[in-house]
Amino acid sequence: MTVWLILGLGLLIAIVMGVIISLLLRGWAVGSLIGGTFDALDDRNEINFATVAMRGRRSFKGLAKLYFFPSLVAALVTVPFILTSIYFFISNSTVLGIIFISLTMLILMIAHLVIAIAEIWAERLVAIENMPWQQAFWQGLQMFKTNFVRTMQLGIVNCLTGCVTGCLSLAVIGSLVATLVIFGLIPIIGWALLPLITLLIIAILVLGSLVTALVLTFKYTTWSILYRELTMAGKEKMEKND
Amino acid sequence: MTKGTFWERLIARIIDDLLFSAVFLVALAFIGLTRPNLSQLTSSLLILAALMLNEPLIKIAYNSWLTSKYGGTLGKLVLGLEVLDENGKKLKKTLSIFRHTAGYLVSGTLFFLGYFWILRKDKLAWHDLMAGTVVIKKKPHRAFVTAVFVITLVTINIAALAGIILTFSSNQNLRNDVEGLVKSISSVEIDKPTKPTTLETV
Repeated sequence: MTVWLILGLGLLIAIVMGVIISLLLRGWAVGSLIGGTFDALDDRNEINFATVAMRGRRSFKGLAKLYFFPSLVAALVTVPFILTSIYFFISNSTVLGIIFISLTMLILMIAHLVIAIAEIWAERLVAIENMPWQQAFWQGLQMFKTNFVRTMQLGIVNCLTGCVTGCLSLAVIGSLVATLVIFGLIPIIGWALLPLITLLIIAILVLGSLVTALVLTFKYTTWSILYRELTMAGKEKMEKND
Repeated sequence: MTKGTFWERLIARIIDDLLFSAVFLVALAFIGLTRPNLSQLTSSLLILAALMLNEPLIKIAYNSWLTSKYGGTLGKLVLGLEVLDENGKKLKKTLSIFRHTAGYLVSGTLFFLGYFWILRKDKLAWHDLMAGTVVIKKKPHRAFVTAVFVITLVTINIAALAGIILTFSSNQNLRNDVEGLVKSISSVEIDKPTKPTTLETV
């Protein structure tokens, strides 16, 4: 029993550490990308891996907190609902159990939608303005409300870009795989194709991550450009009023 | 200020990895020395598995702590290498943790391309560029010390491996338990086809 407890504890620690590391890594990557985009737009720095990485180092803690705490709050909110639904399932009230589970899913969906919306602008507020994550989160939501139409427009453009790129990549990969399968069915050629298939799998993996990186960079850059336009317009408005 | 080359840093990494494998193999050899039966061995191996699961975490702690405290891991210290930040000082703990978690992860992607980056003129890996660090050669001409360390660690690894093979192969308790287990499994399999025969006779 103790041994299994130790193994469970070991597994738990490994999972927690994995989550923490992935959050830090995402924070650094996003911070670098946003910081690098702003440096490029302002012609401030020479843009290379080292300068961009330095920008990421400044903001990775704040961004990691921004990714972690709102999701944690959303998860904690759903705990009473999950417990209630378990109680209903145990006491054979299946209908009530299903209702509570559906409610939990709905709450989680709404919470994650709000988090995703807030994060669009909050990421930039943390990375560029060095704002604490809580303040950035609420201000991000406020920015979404005041710039609803432009945010939605760019959101749709980015979604479409992702979909089109994904579909095109799938079509290219699919046609390559189909050609190989057709040739592979011929007995003599079949075995000779094995090294080619291995190379193709490696190429697909590398190209797949490169395409994903390109799409992500495009999305983050367009959001950053819009953020810059919106904040500059806001500043100009304030200066005129003064 | 001379920077550490790719090969020096590779040997330093090999020394660190040999140290880790030595610890693991020695632990396994010690388990073998206690002459465990099957259930005792299973318990010990499960504890070892829990440790192995957290090996990356242990490595991060080892790398980060030694680098911020002494300027490098055992491997790097043996080769006379030191990790410094942009200001030429030893790394702070947070920067050291960042270098050895996010940095190493990024360097490890795309077939360890980030590590091969050291072969370039500036001798900086991706994790160096990310953390703004540089690995310098503090003490040159450490070939003899390095050779002694490598040979000692390789010897420990081989001895521990031999110890594991010898202790486990001569463990009669374990052999009896395994044979008993194999017999019980095969008897269950033999019992199965007897049922239809009975039905046929009926």
